[in-house]
Amino acid sequence: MSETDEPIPDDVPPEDTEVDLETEFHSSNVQEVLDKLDRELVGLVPVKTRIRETAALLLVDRVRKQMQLSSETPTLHMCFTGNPGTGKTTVALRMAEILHRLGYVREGHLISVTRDDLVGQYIGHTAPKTKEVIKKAMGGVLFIDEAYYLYRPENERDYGQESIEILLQIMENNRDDLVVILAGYKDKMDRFFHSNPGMRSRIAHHIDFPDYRSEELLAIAKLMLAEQNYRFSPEADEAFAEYIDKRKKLEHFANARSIRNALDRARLRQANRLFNSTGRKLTKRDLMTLEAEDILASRVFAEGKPDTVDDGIPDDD
Amino acid sequence: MNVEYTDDPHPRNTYWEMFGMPMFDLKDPAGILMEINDCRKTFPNHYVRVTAFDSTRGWETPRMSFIVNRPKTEPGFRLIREERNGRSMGYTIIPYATDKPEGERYT
Repeated sequence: MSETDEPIPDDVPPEDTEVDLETEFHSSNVQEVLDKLDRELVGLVPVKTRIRETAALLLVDRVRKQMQLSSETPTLHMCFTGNPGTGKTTVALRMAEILHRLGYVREGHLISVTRDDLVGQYIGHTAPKTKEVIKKAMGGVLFIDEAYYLYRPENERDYGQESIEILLQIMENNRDDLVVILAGYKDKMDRFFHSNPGMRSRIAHHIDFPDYRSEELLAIAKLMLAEQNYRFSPEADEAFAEYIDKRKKLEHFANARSIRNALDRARLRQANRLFNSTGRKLTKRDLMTLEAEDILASRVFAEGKPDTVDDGIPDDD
Repeated sequence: MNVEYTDDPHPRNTYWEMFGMPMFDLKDPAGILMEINDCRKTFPNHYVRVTAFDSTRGWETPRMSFIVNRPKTEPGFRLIREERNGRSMGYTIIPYATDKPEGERYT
């Protein structure tokens, strides 16, 4: 994969200074991260394209800076929108690594927070709390999950607004120190930005995460299993493909997260099955293989609803 | 990390006021710097110090401490000599600044 056709800025210095994007690209090792992204994340083509574009832009910007064509740090704050379980957090983690390799953040760590970590419970509690999180994230990436919860229009005295104001100020003044990534469902984020236009204008990159297709989910399932040294038997393979199709139509479907939970439960059933099959000699292969019956026992097949734990709440989310 | 301030310049003064909350798990100096600059802006005429703590022994131990801000004018110390029994001498120092009450010392 040699996507080295970065848009070269057309106002390269006239005194034909040589611009060696290639070397620059290799020395930053970004390719490695991008490859890893390609390998470990199934599907998500538009997201990957956008990230590659962003990486190219940042790289070109860095070279331009060396040529003294631009001096300002570009706005790097991002917004990831998409349904649950589409890999927003994982991509954010990779993004932190890419930004680190390109030298836009110094440490490259990711601090993942939600409303609870930012907004306080009483007057005067919010500012120190938000500041503490921001200070922790400095030099890295601050990932705010479900960011739209920060703003609650129904409650005028909600402290979320205070948190947003502090964030905005930091996003503007400490652009060199901190990159903020917001994440959430598309429609709710749209509403959030609508009521906070200041936030919208400070975020340059909006990336939308599509839902996974059934084949992609199956591929993800296999990847997850391989990581834990499990595999499907051929029948289980088919059963799981069917499971995905059925599960997708049910409520509370959370893409990859649902798949992971389904696999966890399949492993539980497999363990039970092995434990009860006392008459037979078990082999290493038995320990590794998930059979069709482990999957077909799911309530998705029997009753057409997600598996539940005892309290009747779907354990998918 | 901790940022503290005081206006009592005596070298044996260990009771400094904390500026904001202590900070834990910072990966990058930018956060501390932000706090230091905040404190210096609020107390431009106080002593401000930064203390780094180390918890590897199981409790937070000051590892390093240094002053990041001093008042513009420091009048210094008066040396008091005290005659004692025999011909022995006792010495003590008193900062001129502490003649005034707290908060008005370096204005």
